[in-house]
Amino acid sequence: MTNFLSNKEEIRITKKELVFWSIIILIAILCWIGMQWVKQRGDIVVVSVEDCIVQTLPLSYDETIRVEGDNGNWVELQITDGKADVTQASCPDQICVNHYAISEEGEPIVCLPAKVVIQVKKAQ
Amino acid sequence: MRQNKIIAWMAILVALAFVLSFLERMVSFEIPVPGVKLGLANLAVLMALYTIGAKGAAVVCIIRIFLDGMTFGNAYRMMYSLAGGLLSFFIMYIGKRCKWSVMSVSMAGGLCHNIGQIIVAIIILKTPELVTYLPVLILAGIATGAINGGLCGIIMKSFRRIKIE
Repeated sequence: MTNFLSNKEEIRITKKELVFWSIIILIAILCWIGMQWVKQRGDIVVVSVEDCIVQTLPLSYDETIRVEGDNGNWVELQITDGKADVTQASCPDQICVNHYAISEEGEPIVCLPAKVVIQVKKAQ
Repeated sequence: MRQNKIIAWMAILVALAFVLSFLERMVSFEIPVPGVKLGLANLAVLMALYTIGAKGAAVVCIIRIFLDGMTFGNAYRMMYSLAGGLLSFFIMYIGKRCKWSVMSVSMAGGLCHNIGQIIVAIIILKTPELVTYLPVLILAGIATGAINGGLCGIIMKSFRRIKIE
């Protein structure tokens, strides 16, 4: 007779491991808080397709553009109230559409199938 | 005879993983941070690791990624899944060898899945700013890993009563 599952494996988490995970969670939360702190509002949006910058738009001006990406995919970028957001995309997973609107320096929205990267930056 | 049972069991686990990833896609709760998902399919890999060992788990892991990628996704998505899946499998294997608890193994797997994906995304898109997602993805990976670990624990408890002749 064979039993697929042995009785040796510990199912419940041990105290030592709990401490370990707590430390990791704490570090992650601290990093996140730190990042929120150093964030600064950007004022331009840089759109690039496959590492090439195709367009640079000011965040202060409301407009909607369509970016043609790789593999025949496209992304619709909307700028309203100083925030950039992807409202429509042709890709199947719609991750970029779900993404929150960005306005802080360095924040990216990425559409993987279209290889489009939209990033907020500071104007020189 | 035992060999046949292992093969059948592996097939069941691959099917389970496939159904779970389909289920997850059906009830997609939209979280605005990319890359955060429950990763229920990892449950099948976790179960494979604890029932038929590392080799079987690796096979289940790779087959499920290819099946999922070819059915629902595209080549890019598959690449990210593969990076995340392999890294998480690797760490889960090490964790099991080091006799961590099932919960910890699962949490480490979830964590490394997300880390692997973000590393591949940074390399492919050459956008180092994606690192800013890391803290959120680490927390999400641990949380989803804990959910999967809990589920796996419940399943294992009831499976221990089942004897396969």
